[in-house]
Amino acid sequence: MPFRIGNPKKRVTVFLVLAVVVFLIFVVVGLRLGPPAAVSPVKYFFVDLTGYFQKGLSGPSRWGGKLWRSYLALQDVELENKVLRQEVIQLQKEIGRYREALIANARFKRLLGIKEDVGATVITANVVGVDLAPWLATITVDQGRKDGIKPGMVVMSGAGVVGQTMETSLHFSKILLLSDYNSAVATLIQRNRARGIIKGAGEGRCYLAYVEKVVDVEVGDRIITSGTDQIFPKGLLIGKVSSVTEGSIPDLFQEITVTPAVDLKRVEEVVVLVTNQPFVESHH
Amino acid sequence: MNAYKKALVVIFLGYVLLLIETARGFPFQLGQIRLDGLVPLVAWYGFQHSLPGGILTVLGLGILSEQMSAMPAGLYALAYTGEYLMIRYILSHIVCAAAWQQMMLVSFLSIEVVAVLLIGSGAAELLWPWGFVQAFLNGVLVPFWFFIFDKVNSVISREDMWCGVKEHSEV
Repeated sequence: MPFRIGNPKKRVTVFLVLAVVVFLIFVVVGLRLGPPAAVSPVKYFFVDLTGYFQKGLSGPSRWGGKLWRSYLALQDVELENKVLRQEVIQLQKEIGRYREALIANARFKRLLGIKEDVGATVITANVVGVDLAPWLATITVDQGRKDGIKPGMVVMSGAGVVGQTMETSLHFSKILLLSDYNSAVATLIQRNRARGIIKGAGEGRCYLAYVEKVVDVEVGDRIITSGTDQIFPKGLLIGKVSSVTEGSIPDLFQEITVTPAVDLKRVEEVVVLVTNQPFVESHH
Repeated sequence: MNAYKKALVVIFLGYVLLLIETARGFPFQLGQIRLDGLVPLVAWYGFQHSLPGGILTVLGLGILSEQMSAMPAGLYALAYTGEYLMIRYILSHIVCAAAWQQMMLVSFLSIEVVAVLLIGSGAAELLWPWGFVQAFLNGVLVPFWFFIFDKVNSVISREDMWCGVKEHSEV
């Protein structure tokens, strides 16, 4: 007996539900294949349009925050000046030592025939938006393709690495923060050169994975990029080790928590290192 | 107000909510949870609008949400469509007139939305307790969100808002 639905309204409903089911099947397949290239221009136009609104909305709160911080800063300015003067003296001594090291380094490089690193142009950008899902650590900044930004470029703040660019429209870019669950960066422990991978743990936190139990790791150890992932150049500061535990007996690796050098939940301005390195596929 | 206008109102409200919730500096995100107006918006729409046309609006809202997130493609559409379909199914069997019933229903359906989003994005371990806290919060805030949506709807649906285009008038 053929499948028949008498009521025209019911028929429309059934067909629509069937259409939605088919759509959802395509969605599930799409989850595996990724978004088609044809929709990219539409998506990027939407990202640009939304970015301007986000910029407008985030502006007043950013100015308010700056004003408040300026007021707080004034209150401690005398004490801070005293500390800073002492710090300047210390730093001048250090600069002297570094200059010597730099000259020696250049001399050794010439001797060994090692090429100088290609210098990167930097672009400053303001954070205008955050991800809709609170457990995903991505932000939107107000610089995009027209400024030379491409996916897979390094993003830093004053203190250290923030993350990498993952999508760019004409005027805005999305950045994957170090603390995102999908983020992974090849790193070194600066003191003993032990290798590991910095992974995101959400909530502005990171952990250092794949460091064997035999490796000596101490709280306060500085973690820097190793340069082996072809995205982050070697030597950029990621953060410091905040806790080390052995983990359970069958585990091969230590459990190492790392506090990022940058407060990833409060970052407001970033610097993108624009390099001419070969395009590197982002995590998508 | 006809179905098309209603759909436009929902898309407009959804876009405004998305902008506010993702604009930097707004206190809409508190750790792993957020003050989410989108799940209540889908529920509010589901309470009022029946299945044939309504589902396309909800799909549109889901696709719109995806543009504001690094979430894998299709997850928001999947989650919101599921919520809408469940609301229509439940309303065809029971009446959810009282505010507390609506709060409970939205809480219950929020679990579905949060579960789809968390599991789909590989963060299933956050389902307990954060997913449930989020669902509870969505339910508790239903009277507030529904009040806002009703107000905005009544303002937008005034006939003079539509440049003199009048509803089908009675003779």
